[in-house]
Amino acid sequence: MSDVEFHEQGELNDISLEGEITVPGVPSNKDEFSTLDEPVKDTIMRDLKAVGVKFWHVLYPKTSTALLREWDLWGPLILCVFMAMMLQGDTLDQMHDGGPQFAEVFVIYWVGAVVVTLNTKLLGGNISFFQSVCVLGYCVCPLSIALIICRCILIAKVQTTVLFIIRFVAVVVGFGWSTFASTAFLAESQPPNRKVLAMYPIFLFYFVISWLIISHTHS
Amino acid sequence: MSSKDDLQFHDSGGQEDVMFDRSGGQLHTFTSFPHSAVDMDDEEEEGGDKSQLLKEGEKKSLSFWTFEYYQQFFDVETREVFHRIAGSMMPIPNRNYLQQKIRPNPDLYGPFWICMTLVFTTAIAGNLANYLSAGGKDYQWRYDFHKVTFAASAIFTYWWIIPAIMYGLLWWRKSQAGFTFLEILCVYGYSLAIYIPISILWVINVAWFKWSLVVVGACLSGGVLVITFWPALKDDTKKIALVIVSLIFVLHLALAAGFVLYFFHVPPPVSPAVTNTTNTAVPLSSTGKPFAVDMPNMKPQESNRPLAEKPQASNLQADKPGTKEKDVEIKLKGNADKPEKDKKLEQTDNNNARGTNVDSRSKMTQTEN
Repeated sequence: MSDVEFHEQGELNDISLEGEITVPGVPSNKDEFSTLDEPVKDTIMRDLKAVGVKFWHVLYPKTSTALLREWDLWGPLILCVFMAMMLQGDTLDQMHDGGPQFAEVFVIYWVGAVVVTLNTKLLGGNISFFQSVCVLGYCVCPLSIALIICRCILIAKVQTTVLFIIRFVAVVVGFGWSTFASTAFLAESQPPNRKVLAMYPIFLFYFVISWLIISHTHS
Repeated sequence: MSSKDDLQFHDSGGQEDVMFDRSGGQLHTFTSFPHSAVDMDDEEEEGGDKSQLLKEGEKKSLSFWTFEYYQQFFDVETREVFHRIAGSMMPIPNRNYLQQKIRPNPDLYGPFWICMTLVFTTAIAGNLANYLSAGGKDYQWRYDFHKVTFAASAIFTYWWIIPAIMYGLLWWRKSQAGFTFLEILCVYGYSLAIYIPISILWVINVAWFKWSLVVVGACLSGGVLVITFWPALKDDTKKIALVIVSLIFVLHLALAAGFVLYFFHVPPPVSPAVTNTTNTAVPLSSTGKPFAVDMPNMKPQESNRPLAEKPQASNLQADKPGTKEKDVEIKLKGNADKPEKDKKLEQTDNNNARGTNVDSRSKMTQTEN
């Protein structure tokens, strides 16, 4: 309501009614030129930079508000598509691979993030829906790195117990990192007597993704 | 505030809007609140303890389509959830679980996340049990993701359908206990909590242990269910009451038995073609790990025995050159006695490796002897 201006009757004749409906809290750039005319490269680079900054914040989690303030869903989408492609079971083989299909990983990821977010909000957290989905999606980044490591290890033809232990440790580290990063961002939004209740589903979500990663042993 | 009166603004719906009147436009006045309009038996009734909150207008009968309607089912604290889970596992005859722990605030947080956790622990433990029974080496084993979908369907069906049946039965018998559907859902959800650690223990592949876990789990949480529902049924004819109570218990037991039989079922050993090589394998596997006791003849399982018992294997390899002209299974059995890293190479290069490795093995046995 602070952005609606009241003009006296005399003034109305002189100046045209104008004003900006801005969202309180976001700094309004008065001199921001229209982005329709800029080259496409600028647009893409700006978005990529934003996504990159957020990945950086996830990998080095401090309690910063960058993820929360300017949320976007590009990063989660990139991570989800990457993971779903890597984790899908191979149906070209003779023996039907019991691994998840692309769509199943996709659904687990997004429906999981939505359900965890709904849970946080139902418990009374004061965080917006998309902010929470954004944070949960971005915090899968350490697990994606663990997936890349596992995939590299799986290139070796012979799988020994030692290699399995390395994979296991990589996934556990990724899981711990993801959970810690998302806790750093999401913990303050809950009242203290419900923190565990809000954190447990996040833990379960990343646990399931870790299980998908560690179980994936392509032929 | 005067501008508010003039412009008749009211905040549009959202979280922070709980204190404002929803009927649009009017100012909210805290006059007499129609307390009697709230049905005691209604699902969203939170009970008399929160009467102060009721007076403040927060507890009208909320519309099904608002977010706050669902928020009231999640109005629990960490401590309470833990107490409820603990209470669901301990059937104490004098204390009714429902009266003590659940009322006046039944929640859906606990049951929902217990069911989700149970889905994933069952699927993961089932895959793990399958993996271990296949010999611990995954060169032939693939995990089955679709156990997750099946487990989810089974568990959520049980969690919703059985309470619906129970509610219907209680309504049909005109039970006076006044259980709401939400409370029955809540009790059933928490009663599944004991299966979570049990499903992890089911990985241990000893048949009597698995079945005793089934019985223990069903008795404990089934006991709590029976004690909870008994007050609602004791006014009824003895026969009907006993039938319903035993039905509750039997269904609970059947759920646990179904889990064991579907997810943790270890297939019996097949492939009689390896019988003449299993003679040498049996002494190895009988000294193996305890949970492998039921399957002495599983071919891939034998393959990891010699990793732990290599010196013994090399003594038995004196027999191998004599049998090397037999078929492929014997080659695989011969592979089993070799170090792990050579095994994969052997599987791809059939003839050459077999010839050379048998020679190297016979050399090895000669040097060791």
